[in-house]
Amino acid sequence: MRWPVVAFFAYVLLGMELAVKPHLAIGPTRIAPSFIVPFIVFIAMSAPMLPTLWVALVLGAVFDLLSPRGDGAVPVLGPYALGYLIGAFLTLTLRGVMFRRSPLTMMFLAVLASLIAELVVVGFFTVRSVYTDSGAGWSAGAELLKRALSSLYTLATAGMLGIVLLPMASLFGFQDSHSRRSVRRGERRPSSTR
Amino acid sequence: MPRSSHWLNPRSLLTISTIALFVLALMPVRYLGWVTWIADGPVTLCTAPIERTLGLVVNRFVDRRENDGADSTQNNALVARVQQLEFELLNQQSENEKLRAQVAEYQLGLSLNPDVPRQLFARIIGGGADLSAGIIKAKAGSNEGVEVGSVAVVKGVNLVGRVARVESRFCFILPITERASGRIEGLIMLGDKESGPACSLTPSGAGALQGPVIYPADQPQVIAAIRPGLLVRLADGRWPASSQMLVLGLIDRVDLATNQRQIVTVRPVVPLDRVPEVVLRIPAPQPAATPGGKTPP
Repeated sequence: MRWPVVAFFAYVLLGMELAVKPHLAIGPTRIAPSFIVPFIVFIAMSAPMLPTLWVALVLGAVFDLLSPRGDGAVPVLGPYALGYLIGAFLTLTLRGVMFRRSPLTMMFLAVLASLIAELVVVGFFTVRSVYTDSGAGWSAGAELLKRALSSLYTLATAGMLGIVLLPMASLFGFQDSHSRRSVRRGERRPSSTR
Repeated sequence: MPRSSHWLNPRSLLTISTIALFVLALMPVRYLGWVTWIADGPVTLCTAPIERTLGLVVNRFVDRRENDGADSTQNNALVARVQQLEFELLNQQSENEKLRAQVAEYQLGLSLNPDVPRQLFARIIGGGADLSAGIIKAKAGSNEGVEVGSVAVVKGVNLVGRVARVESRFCFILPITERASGRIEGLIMLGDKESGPACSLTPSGAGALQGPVIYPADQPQVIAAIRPGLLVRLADGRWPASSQMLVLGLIDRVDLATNQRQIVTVRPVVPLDRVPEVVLRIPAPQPAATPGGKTPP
């Protein structure tokens, strides 16, 4: 995987998350699509496991750091990092049974990954609401509903990003994990027979 | 293979990072002060250029769309001015009452606190990445004298919220419609200058405030005059005196609770998550006391 290319696209999409997403929100509900989750799904559909998990963890941590919350406007580091990590892991698990080169697959997986990530985030903040003052008035059900609708809205951005990113997959220098495994086996065979 | 490489390989580091983030995610806010340094320092420094560039492009499109409908609202400035004067009058009346009470207290030996704010325009430069948090970021910070607790208003009289955290070049505002901002007391205006009963409002989570009407002692029953469209102003002792009578919003609906008490839903006149700029009302600094007990001129 070419890390500079991944970093460049992640940077641009993070900018879109900050600058474009608020304008796409539906009224005062704050139901808005994600740009980062489809990108993590795009990486997870083709890249090896370990780099994918690192990309998800780092992007999630940056997202956490850019989300001040509560009456002190302090960011909480962790919920989105772990949410995106689990979302990426889900994609890695499911990609074997999916047709990887289709934007429809990316849309489907982005919604699933976003749902599981938001579930993790709501879980963390629900636990936090038990012992933090800023948790007063936190409603897990309402948050979950709002975030589930945002996940559905992510279909739109995932479709758009799928159309843009999938033809550019070669730029990212992904190696097919199946072919790489077979190459490794091929390399090891002579040494094992020795 | 050296033993240290076992701990430094990407797989082990990922496991350690995951455990550390799990612990941090559950840590109380008072232990997370150092996180704000990372968030406002290196992370904001890196993301600000792309956020600003894309923000300019998007705002250009949004402004063009909004300007198309601008011709029909030419008298907006006049309406805003009338509202401003109305607020100033009510605020002065409220201030007069407070001053009378303060003079009485002063005569009893208590100190007088003038609390006159300085006003500062601040452009909104974004919010958090997670829109659910609802916090907005304004481009004015401690360098400009902004303090935690400064009050943000829009269009002169509409209350936006309070400054929750201040950094050197920007500050974070917690809007009144966010759950974290808590309860707020309001006064329902039955006419332009005729105040009605009070109401105790809490953020509903959908960009509005909701709460019961507090009936006066002489009228402990449903007040028919309370109807949608009435103005609700701030009347809360926990907010600075200079902010009393700022506009919280308009009554959107009136419901009757099972205990026959009226429940009002108040929606801000301006959507608070979409304000382009705010005016920060910063409390005036207290004059430093000299050793002789006299304040310098």
